[in-house]
Amino acid sequence: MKLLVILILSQIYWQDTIVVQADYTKRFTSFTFPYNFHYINLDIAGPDLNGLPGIVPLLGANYGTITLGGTTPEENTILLNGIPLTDPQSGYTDITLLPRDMISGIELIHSGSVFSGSNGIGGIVNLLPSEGGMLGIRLGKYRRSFFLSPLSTPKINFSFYYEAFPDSFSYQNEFNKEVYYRNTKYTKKALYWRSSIMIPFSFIFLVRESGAPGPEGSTLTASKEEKLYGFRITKEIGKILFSLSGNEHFLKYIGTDNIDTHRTRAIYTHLKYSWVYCGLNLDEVVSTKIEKRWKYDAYFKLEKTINLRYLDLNAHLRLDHFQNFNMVPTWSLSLYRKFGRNMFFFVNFSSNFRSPTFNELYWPEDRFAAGNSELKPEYSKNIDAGLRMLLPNIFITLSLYHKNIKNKILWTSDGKWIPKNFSRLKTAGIEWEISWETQRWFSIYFSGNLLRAYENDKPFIYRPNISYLISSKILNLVKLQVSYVGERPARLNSPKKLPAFYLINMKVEKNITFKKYIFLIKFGIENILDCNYEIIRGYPQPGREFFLNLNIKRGYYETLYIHNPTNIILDLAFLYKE
Amino acid sequence: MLSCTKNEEPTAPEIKGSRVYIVNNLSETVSIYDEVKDTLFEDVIITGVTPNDIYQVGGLAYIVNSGFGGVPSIQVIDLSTNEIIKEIQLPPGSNPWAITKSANRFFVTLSARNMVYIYDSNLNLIDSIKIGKWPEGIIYYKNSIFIASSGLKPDYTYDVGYVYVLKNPDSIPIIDSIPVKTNPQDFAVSPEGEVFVLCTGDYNIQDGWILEIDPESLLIVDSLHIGGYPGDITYAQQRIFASDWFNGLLIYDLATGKDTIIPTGYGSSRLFAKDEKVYLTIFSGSEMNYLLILDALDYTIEKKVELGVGKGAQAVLVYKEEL
Repeated sequence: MKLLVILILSQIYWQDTIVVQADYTKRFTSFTFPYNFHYINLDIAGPDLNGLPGIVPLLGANYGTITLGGTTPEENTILLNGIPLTDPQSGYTDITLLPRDMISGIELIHSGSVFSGSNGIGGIVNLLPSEGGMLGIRLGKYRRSFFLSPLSTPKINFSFYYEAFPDSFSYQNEFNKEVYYRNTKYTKKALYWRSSIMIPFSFIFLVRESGAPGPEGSTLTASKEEKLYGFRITKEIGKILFSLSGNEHFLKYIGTDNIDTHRTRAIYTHLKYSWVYCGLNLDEVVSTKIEKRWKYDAYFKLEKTINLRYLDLNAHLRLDHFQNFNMVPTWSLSLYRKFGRNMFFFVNFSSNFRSPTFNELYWPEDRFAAGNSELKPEYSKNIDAGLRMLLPNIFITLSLYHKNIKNKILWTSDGKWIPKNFSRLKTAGIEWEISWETQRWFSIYFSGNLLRAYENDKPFIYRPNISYLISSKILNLVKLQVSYVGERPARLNSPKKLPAFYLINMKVEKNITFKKYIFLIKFGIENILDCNYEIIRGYPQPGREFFLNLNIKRGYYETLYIHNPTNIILDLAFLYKE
Repeated sequence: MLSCTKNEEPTAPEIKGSRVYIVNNLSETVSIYDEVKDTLFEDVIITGVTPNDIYQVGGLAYIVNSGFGGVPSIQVIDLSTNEIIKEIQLPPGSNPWAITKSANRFFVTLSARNMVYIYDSNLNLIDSIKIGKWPEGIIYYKNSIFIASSGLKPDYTYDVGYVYVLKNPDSIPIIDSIPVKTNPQDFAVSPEGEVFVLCTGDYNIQDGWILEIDPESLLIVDSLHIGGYPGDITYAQQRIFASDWFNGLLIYDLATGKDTIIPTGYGSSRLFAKDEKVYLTIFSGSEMNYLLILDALDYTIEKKVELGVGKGAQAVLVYKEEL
């Protein structure tokens, strides 16, 4: 019944676009979107980011990110509700900078260079802020947090987040001895402001003070102070769509005998008129390491959709001109078709690239490392294909991808760590999502990846061949999540592996409605098995954690607030307008 | 009880006769080159984290894992089966560098602790001694343990290097020391009673030197300026062999005073001498690694073995098993 309502709603809001549930909550995703796209609800998927379609998490300690399809972090663009988060100096987006309660979902699109330019080989990830809550408090063994949203409506949201973590936690090392991993402390504060009144905009301000622990056994006692400002503004003037977004990062790294500061700024402008796009991206860095540098990327793009008899066709042709490189062309061609009202098929061919980062080009030669100003951009040819199917109470999406990356840049140790264009990375995978809701008492969500990632014909580090997630809700009361990550190489050019692991999370939650407010009380256990595991070698992750969580929401969010994720991610390129 | 992690270990092939054990620092494995069959068995043994040294005592080999990014350890390998039969943990963050054995005891340098750990022959810890600053190479010779105290400081500059000497190591050691050149790292000894210490310099202003120490008087009796980027030293057939990262293999003939440079390509790393041969690893993190086998008398390269791409080949050991 609920799905029928949603289908009717979809006809009203998006006319010929069928919108279906991708999970068993009131979130929605586009059905006929002709790219390899997923929307993930983190309330369903759990906090660990394992086994999600397309995603390989790479988490250290107070530093970490996610990548798509087995690629490296610099090959992906990461946004927060359309706000660019990527630091142009490192080409990396440290998602651990964000308080965990701040993110409720992830939407992703594979092979995104025709939208994002550089950093599109893996794709684009858009992190979706939690909205709709008024107040939330979490008391856990490790993590303590709260958020406050004095203003939270579908048109405007103003929220403050705080999160803290202790200075150390214990774990069992490989000799089964209980030891402490130290210097893990952090405090994060964040302010998020979104408005769709008059001029739609989003703004984020993040501050983190944290330890910067080295890998296990390291005696490093460094710390970090970080700030991030980011914004995004969109405006439609007549037939012209305009978007302005940007960020500023500040990082102060305090080592035992050195203090380094890095400040980066990025500004991205986009214009769209009919099927013509253009834009200018500017990046600047002022750093104690690489001094003051800047670069630009000007682009021009044509995009056309043609409705053929048996297939529809969507094509992009984009030219980027960089300061240090010649013109870089990228293109994408999607063929797709809807079968009846229940099934949709697409295949997408694309070329993608990423340009070298400031660090890779200009890192000054020191005892350990040196940049390489001779680096060239990486290029890839990607193929994505998928099938989405809607049956009563069941949503299935199955996708395949293949990424063939040439000129790949990797830091390699030949006495010193130096980035080189020497490598070739081939990744191929199958990813799936199945959600099934039966009656009102049982729902299940099953997602996963089969991944084959080979760098110069050797298995690529930290990329598991298999990972999956099973999440279920029972009696509207208990949520149980089981994730599995298979063995993956712990070193390049080596049979050495990090062991496979299971994580199990459980929570019991109860809603109490009082007038127009919903009180949500959760009690849960994360990592029930107290599993000692590492995602990145040398960076143990915390063990079992009990927590108590109290949230207060405004009731109308349950019925009125409809989130259309494709609009936000593709606002970057105005494929669809809001 | 449900276990949340699992891992599979490789099985070691059976290799007999003369063979070379190559420790791959980056891939954290040991490959074995069978000299009899001219065959390389790649990644036969999975080591601990960042293996740095391999040392043979009888039918056993001891691998010192420095543990950067994990737990430092010593692994014991049964050379007849090429399987790990024992592993002991060392203090986290201690950066163990090298190991040697006296008559009854093992001595391990813990660089980051400025210490030497002393174990009995079954690797039970029995004592520890504070030694200089950032000790690295260590050898046993004529009832003394020689320890290279590199003088490395946290800011990666160097204090004066020292060689510490533990006399009478199997009972209550007596400690003595000799100031040497910058960054002493490793030793070579000759059957004639000479001890040579390689001082690498600071790879910048201070050049590399080889100093000869009289093991009785503990005086420096000779020196050889070698400059460049030296890394390891060994002795064979009245000659000193020193690897140089950029220039290849430096050879000094003690009898004639003649020096020779054998270009080996970039990455000349660790050395081992056995009988009339010298074994040299060529390190690379991104390209092919090699094992070079040279005739110690005429310096011809008899064999160049491909060890694999990006392996980070370093320490090397030759084991000649009686068949």
